[in-house]
This record gives sequence, structure tokens and C-alpha cells, in this order.
Amino acid sequence: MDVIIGIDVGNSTTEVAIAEITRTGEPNFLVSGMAETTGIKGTAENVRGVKTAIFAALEKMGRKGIVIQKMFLNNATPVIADFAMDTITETIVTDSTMIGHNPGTPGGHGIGIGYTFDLRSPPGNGKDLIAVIPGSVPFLDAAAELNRLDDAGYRVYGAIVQNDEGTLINNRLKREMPIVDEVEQIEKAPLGMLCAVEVAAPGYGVEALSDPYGIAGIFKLGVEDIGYCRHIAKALIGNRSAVVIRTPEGAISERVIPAGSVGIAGSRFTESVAVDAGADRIMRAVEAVGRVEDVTGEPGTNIGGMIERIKVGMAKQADIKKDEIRISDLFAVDTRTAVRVQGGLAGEHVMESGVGVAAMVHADHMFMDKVAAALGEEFKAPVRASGVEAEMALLGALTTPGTALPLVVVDVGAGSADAALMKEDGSVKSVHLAGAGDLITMLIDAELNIGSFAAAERIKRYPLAHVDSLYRIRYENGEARFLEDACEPRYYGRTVTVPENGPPEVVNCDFSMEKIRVVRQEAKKKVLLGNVFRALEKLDVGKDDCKGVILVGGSFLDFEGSRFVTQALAEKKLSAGKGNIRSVEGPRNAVATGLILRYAELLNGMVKHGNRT
Amino acid sequence: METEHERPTIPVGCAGTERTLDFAREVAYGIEEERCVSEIFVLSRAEDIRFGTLGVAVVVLPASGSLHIADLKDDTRYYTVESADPAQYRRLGKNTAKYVKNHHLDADFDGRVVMK
Repeated sequence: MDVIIGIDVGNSTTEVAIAEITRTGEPNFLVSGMAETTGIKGTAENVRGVKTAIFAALEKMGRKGIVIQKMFLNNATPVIADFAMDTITETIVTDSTMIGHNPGTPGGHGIGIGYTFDLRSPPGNGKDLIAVIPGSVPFLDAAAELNRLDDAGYRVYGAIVQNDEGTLINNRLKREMPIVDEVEQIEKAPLGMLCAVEVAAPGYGVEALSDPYGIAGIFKLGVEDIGYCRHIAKALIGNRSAVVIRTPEGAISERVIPAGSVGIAGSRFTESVAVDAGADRIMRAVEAVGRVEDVTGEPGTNIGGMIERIKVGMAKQADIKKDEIRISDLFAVDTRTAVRVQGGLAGEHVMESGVGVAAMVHADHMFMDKVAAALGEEFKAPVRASGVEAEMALLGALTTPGTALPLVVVDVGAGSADAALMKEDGSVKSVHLAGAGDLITMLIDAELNIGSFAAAERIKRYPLAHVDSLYRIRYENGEARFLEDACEPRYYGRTVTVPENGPPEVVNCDFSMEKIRVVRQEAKKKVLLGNVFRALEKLDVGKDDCKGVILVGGSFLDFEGSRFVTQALAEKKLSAGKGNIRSVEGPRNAVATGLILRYAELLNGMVKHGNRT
Repeated sequence: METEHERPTIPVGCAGTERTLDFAREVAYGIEEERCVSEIFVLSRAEDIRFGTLGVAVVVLPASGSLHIADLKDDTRYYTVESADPAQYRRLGKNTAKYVKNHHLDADFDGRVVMK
């Protein structure tokens, strides 16, 4: 059997469609396949992923007597997309020492103020004291020593403990005191310094140490220090327990990294926007300057670093010099990101306002030629890189039942979003936008402080559930299910992601299921809705110009992304929905299918448009 | 308010040897650190588990310690620690208390924890 193959190499997924051309010249789609893209899109390394996808497809049809007549490769949109994020508010960098964390069970409660000392070598009597208890001191010995000091008239008003033994120590004391435990880097706690230890009652957060004036009062600081106290207080808000140790004057240094400004050079004018004005303000400038010709970040600032990182990454990807990179689109979103607190001794993080940006650059050369040559060599078949990607996606999307021209297709993959409008006369207008699935994952990763792109990706893709008890799991939509067998210990009390097929995976973060869900949904709305609206505006689509908006690409494969767009566009009287390519593929395979349809049309010497189901 | 002594206790049964008593104490410390109350008793036979009002018990035998849950269908062991490291028994105690409090258990289920 002679077959033709349509191949779409995306940033993260490679898709193929295999068809035979019937005697009447119509394509008869036989099978499709999918594999992870190998290497950077547009490099010969892609061949491995293409082979895997083709073999996976051929496997499904038995592979016998197959002769590959021709292969068509997407002429990938010549864009490279990348993203970065950083804080826009002041970054606290101090050499002061503070501990603000939520150990499960601190000891005692209240506030204790005194000078720090190592419990193994008590100082002379006379001062108010706070004991520093390293992990090498067993809790029984620590409690006995604290009681001995109490009997001897020492005034010890609190303790900082390395081990998770705060309650054990407190339970053995003659006089209760606030004890903060699980302090990993206790050896860094300075000795002989004035210190405050606060433990809140269960259900409450620390009060004095999360208030700048509270801190100023404890350490007898003046009005000039209130700004400094504000940074510490901000980092301690919401904690059940906290410690602040005042370091000697002069040892405190605070460096504020300015958020900086972003310069957007456009065809009409150039505008500079302070990043702390927020993502909306940046995006208004991106729209106002005309066609974006380049974007720069103020050197020595967070945004400067971000834009630099993106350009370096793009230069590497496209194998061109960094100075030749000209950013052609920028997409910015507001976010919150966890920043490690300098001077913290228990791995503290504080949530800072941040901005995430995705950028895109148009390259001069076509990437896919190298891939086509390598594929031809591999399969000994003619390979052609042809067809504008967005147009092919449109042809594929038109096989979705119920579609008709004029139609908009929005293809959101991992790296970028492409959108195209095809009118009844077959004319096509397309746009390529920065910001897609990877940006959503990055936002989830940052806002939940997960530290794993793969784990954030799972949160993006699958619904959540909470394992409430041995035999009961509660889904994020409120549904409950009873388990046949008791859940494994690793799942007990945990929030998990629940893929449709496959075991649940534990979400390793301290946030509640409800909070994780909100973060996930907000990230999707910001990126997907933001870019769909931008695309419609750039394509100049009014409700009369368009019979529908078809959503294709990996970002709409999940269980909710397309729903957000459907809802939002319904309010604008536009019908939008997930593509169902050839009635069987869902939002996948649009470009690969389009490549085959285009070949068949050329073969027939005619171009037809309309529902191709 | 309930006092410490009015809180329901988690029974920790052990074989009665010095070694199992030491490990049982570590389990009890783990339970105490989580602000729960435990009671150590000597088991005459491994099967003589008392679950108490919370429906859980810990059993410490010469080479292992297990969290038992009355609600489990057949074998009531939820998980077992096979170790001579006192820290593992402290963690078993903490996890037992966390189970009672409906908190997630210590995630570091490494090679020393044998799944049922």
C-alpha cells in the first residue's frame, strides 16, 4: 500500500497522520501517531521523534506492505519562543537573621525576648536569655538543663531548637516558654545577640513579629528603621512561629534590586514601561507601539536579566548571534513567586509580586529544511517542508464537524500560539504570538513554589483530588469516591493529581487543594484567554466575520482550557470550541492532517474549503 | 478544655524486651511531639493488639514496628518499619499521630518502610 505522511514537529510533541490517496484523489486517513519531540524544533535531532511517531502509527496498522510515497513536513512557523519570570517588587537581601516557618508542632506559646546563648555553654547570670539548642543535644538533656538554669535563677524566656522536639522539650519544663523547632541551619544563629521568639496559639499567626512597629518596639528601633522592619514583618506574616535576631549594627546590609523597565521598540514609536506598573501596562504598550521590532530590558535589573536570558536561549536555539536576535512579540502576565529569604535559617520563602514574560523572535531562515533532509535520508522517501503552519492547522481544523468559513483557528502549543482567519474566498491571515503552554506551567510552578517543571505540568493537565481518609477520595469538584482498598500510606492526607488513565501522583506542596486549583485555573485564564483575545484583535475578527473559533494544539488537550475560552467568547457572541480533527483526533493532529489535505487538493488541481468530515 | 490526660491515647504495644521497650519509647516520643498521648504496654502475644478509642495501635517487635489500623479489612498493619534506627521509630510515632490527626504522613517512605 502506498501511503503519504503528514508530519508536524512541535516544540514538545511530534504528530503524524498517514493516509492513502484513493483513485478519486481523495485522501483516506488510515492512522495517526504521536511522540515527544526530540531535540530542539528544527534540528536534525527531530528525526528520532518523527521516527517514533511514524512507527507508533504504523504499528497500529500492522506495518505490512507499506510503501511511503511522500512525506510532508510542517514548515514550522519561523519563531522561537522562550519565557522567564522574576520579581518586580523589591528583593530583600539582608544579612540579618530571622526564622519564620511553620514547624508542625512548635513548643509552648507567647513571646520571649532575650540574648541568644548556646545551651551547652550558658553565660553568666543577669540577662534575659534565649537558648539555642543544636541537634546534638538530646531533648531530655535540653529540658533538664533549662530546668536547672531556671532553678539557678537564669531568666531563659524562649528557645530555638534544631530538631523537631519543641513540644517534647516544653512538656518537660517547669515553666512553659515559646520554642521554635526544626531550624535547619541553627549553627548560623548568632550568639550573644538580642532575639525575639514568638509562637502563636494553634489556629493563630505570630502578631508582634509580623508587625513592623511590633519589631521596632521589641528591638527599640527608631523611625529610620521602620522600612527595614517592614521587610522582616512581611516575610513573617502568616507564620505560626517566628524568630528575629538583631545582628550588630553595621552587619545589616540591605540591597534592593530594582525591578527595572522594559523598552518596546515598535514600528510607530518606542515606549519604556516600568515593570512594577504591572503586566497590563506592559501589554498596553506592546499593542500601542505598532509592529514590535525589538524588546530590551534595563541593564542591571531583574527584567534586564530576564530579557537577556531569553535572547541568549533563543540565539543558541537558532544558532545565530545574540545581538542579531530581535524580539517580535512579548506577552507579560502578573504573578506571585516564592523568593528565598536571605538571612533565613529554616529555608524560608516569601511570596513576592512577579512578572512572567514570554517572548518570540522571527528567524530569517526556515528551520525545517535540515529536518526534511535528514528524514529523506532516513526513510529513503521524498520529504517536502511545505505549507504555512497556521494555514495547515486551518485545513485540519475544518475537518471538525460543524465548521464552516469564515473560521478562526487558534493553535496553542507549548512554545507559542498561532492563530489564523480564513475567509470564504480562501484568503488567510495569520499571527504568531508569544506565550503558550510552557508559560502556564511556569506560572503554576512559581506560584506554588514547586521547583519541578514536570510536577507543575501534571498539575496543569489533570484534575485534583484529596485523599481524605483511608477509603475516601474527594475530587476538586466536590465529588467523593470510596476506594475498594485502603489507600497507600504515601497518599494518605495528600492532594493528588488524577490522570484519567494511570495512578494518582502526590502534589508535593503545602497548599490546599482549593488553592492549587485556583492557581492552576488563573494561570490558564491569563495565558489562554490573554492570547486568544490578542489573536482575535490582531486578526481583526468581529462577530460578523467569523462563524467560529476552533481551538487546537496541546494546550487544549486538558480538561478545562478550552472551556474557559468557550465561556469567555460566548459572552462576545462568538462560538468557540475544541477542534475534533477528522472527528476522531480531538484538538490534536490539525497540522499533520492539513498537510495531507493540501497535497490532495494540489493533486486534484483544486482547492476546496468547507466541512471536510 | 480537655486536659492532656483526658485526650484519647494511642496504645503502643511491645514485646517487653529492653530493646523493644526502647523503640516503643521512641514511638511514644514521636506521638508526644505531635501533641497526642500514648500508652506503652507489653504484649503477651503479637496478636493481642488493643486499638483504643482512636482505632489505631503501634506494635513494636524485636525487628520491626508497625502502625495498625482497626479499619483495615484483613491484615490491620498499615505500614511497617524494619530498622534498628531509633529515629525510624520516632517517625513511626509521628506518623501514627499524624494519621489520627488526618494529616499526611511523612513522605520519605524509603527502603526501611515495608508496604503492607
